[in-house]
Amino acid sequence: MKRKWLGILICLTLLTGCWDTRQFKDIKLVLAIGFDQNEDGGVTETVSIPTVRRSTEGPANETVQVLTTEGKTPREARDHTDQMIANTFDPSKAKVILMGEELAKNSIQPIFDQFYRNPNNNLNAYIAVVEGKAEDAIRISPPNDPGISKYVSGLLEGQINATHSTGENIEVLHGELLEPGIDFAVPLLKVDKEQNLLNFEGLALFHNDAYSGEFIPNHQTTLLMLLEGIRGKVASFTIKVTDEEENAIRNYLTFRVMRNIQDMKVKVENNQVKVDINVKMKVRVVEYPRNHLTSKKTIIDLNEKLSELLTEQSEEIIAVIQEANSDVFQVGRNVQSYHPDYWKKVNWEEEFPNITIKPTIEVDIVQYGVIS
Amino acid sequence: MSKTTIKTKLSRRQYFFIIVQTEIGVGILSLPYDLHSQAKQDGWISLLIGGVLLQIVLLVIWLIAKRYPDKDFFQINEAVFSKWIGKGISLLYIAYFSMVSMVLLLLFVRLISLWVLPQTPFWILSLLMILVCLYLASGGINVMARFYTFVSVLLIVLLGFVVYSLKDSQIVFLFPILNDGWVPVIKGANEAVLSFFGFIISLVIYSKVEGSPAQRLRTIFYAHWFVVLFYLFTVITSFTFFSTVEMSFIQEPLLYMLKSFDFTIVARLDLFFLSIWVVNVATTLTTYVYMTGLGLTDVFGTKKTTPSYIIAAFIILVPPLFIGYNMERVDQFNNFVVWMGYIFSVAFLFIIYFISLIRGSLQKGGAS
Repeated sequence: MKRKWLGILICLTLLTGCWDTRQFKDIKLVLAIGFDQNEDGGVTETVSIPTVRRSTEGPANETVQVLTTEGKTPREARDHTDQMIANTFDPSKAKVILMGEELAKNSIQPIFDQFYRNPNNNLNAYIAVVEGKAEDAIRISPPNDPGISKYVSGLLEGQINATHSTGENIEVLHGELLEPGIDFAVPLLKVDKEQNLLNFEGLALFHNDAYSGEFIPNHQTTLLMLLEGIRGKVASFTIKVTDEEENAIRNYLTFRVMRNIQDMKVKVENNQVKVDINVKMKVRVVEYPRNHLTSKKTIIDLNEKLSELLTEQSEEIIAVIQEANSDVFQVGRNVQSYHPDYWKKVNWEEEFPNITIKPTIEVDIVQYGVIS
Repeated sequence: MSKTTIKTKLSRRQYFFIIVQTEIGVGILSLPYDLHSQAKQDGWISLLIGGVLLQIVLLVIWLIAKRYPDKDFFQINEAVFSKWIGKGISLLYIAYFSMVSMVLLLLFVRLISLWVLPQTPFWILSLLMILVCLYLASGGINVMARFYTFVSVLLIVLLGFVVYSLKDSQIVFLFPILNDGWVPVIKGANEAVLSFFGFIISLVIYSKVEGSPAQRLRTIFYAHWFVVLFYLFTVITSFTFFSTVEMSFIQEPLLYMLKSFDFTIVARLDLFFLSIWVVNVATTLTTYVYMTGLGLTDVFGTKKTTPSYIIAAFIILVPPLFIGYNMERVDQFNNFVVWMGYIFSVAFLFIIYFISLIRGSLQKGGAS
């Protein structure tokens, strides 16, 4: 009996766990954060804080509050936000982090340090660059979605599924920020004030930790992803295969990629880096009003035509990437790994725009729907 | 504790799991970082070198233990060095074991405070931990062995988490191999050896295990290589998941890796991992509490064992309370104990072996 009471007493004193509770009523979860550069070098932080009000009758209604504060560092700006709201600011469930164009062009690493340093933070948050100011993007109120964070994360997820972007989150970004020889591309959004929406413009190319100012426009991003060997749920292309038809629609062919195999070879010959990127795609034609796809010859001709056109486009993309000095294919890391002597000799920053990257794309039509 | 449990010998499977659970402990979280800080991406080679080198020490342990088939480690000390010197040496070992326990406790609480419970005071976490260990250790080696075997299932869960992370790994980060030569790799081997220091348990309880000496040697080696491979796997996963530069910033790579995954139900996998890892820390610490307590019992020749464990737990609990979260002092103390580790877990074993050899041949000479 004595033992039993002792046991109960110990349990009562030790198992209550009063210290580290974080109760939902005490914190304000911030789901979307936007950072902009100030004129004096500081940071402007814009946050969107949703609050759910429960009423006894009817559905709960959610209101969103948007706040903008300034500070010398992101953390100070957050403290300033804290001074303006009733509860404690908690970014541990942030879904979306947006960066203004100017800030991105300067340097983004200092912004993210706080996210890496504190174990509570959510490293899955998506990141994107906004043309103009991030504040404007956070301040739009999309008509159909309950909040900006849901809207932007939905938008970005859609781009990942459609093979338009890599799905860059903060965690992946960390390595890419730090590692020499690896650069990255982040979705670029544009605020459409008239329709109160955001628009996916393309992929902003970064060099080291700054936006180079160049971007891959949204009609070429799928190809860039396939060149990197990444495919979302759907990857489709619409390509003009001929000029012969009068009806403009008949000139185009749309296909979906069913399988793609990417192979990158990095060679160092005579102190010159040569990169071959081969992409083989097995595709399904989903729209081709011009012709029947019955004869083998038509299909072979189309295969050749598509391969040629896509290879040309790839060359354009690579030219932009090299101009931006944004090593998104991780060629530098490959050279460092497999040709360490050469890596030590060269300054990769200067070398990358001058190397030869040769893309080859092979398209193979394997299906053409239920009609021929 | 009934008398039958004392007399039952441990099975070799239990022996295996005791060694494994003792070696895998606090270190597993930071091992990739520690190796990386010395040997960069070649850290896994250091780990293998450390594993192979320790093989020799394990052989010496077996040679010592084989000569005294029915004595535990502290009794061996007395047999080798004569009664009073032997007791003195045993006391040194008790001091060493309790210091290792203190380091374990300090590192454990520091990590929990850093990752999960920033507001909780030091004493409550350390007290909870030591109470669990005391309870388990005072149950005796057989109870511990059963418990260790049982919780080894959790190692598979841990492994499962790590396997899942493999999906994002890039083999390119392991290259170039040996670009900076062998020197950093050898330095890294030092870090690797540290992570195996629990192996001394194989000597302490050798006499309590059934089977022929050869069979037991095999069990020791199996356990050792199981741990080496387990470590190797976690190290290679971390090295390929994080880029080379990134690794040099991340002190607990395994946790950091899991933190980045998000599931519908479990938002933070790292917390799950931590709560399983706590069990591994507890088993390691329990072993040390047990060894400290066993040493006290042997040296002072007490009949009851439980008071020794309580004293041991008390000795282990109090000094860390004065160090607390002070990182610098924890590190200093840690380095000191590491040196002690080399002396007591490696160098001194050779001395014991040679002295026992000399004494053995003298006695033979005297008899003929």
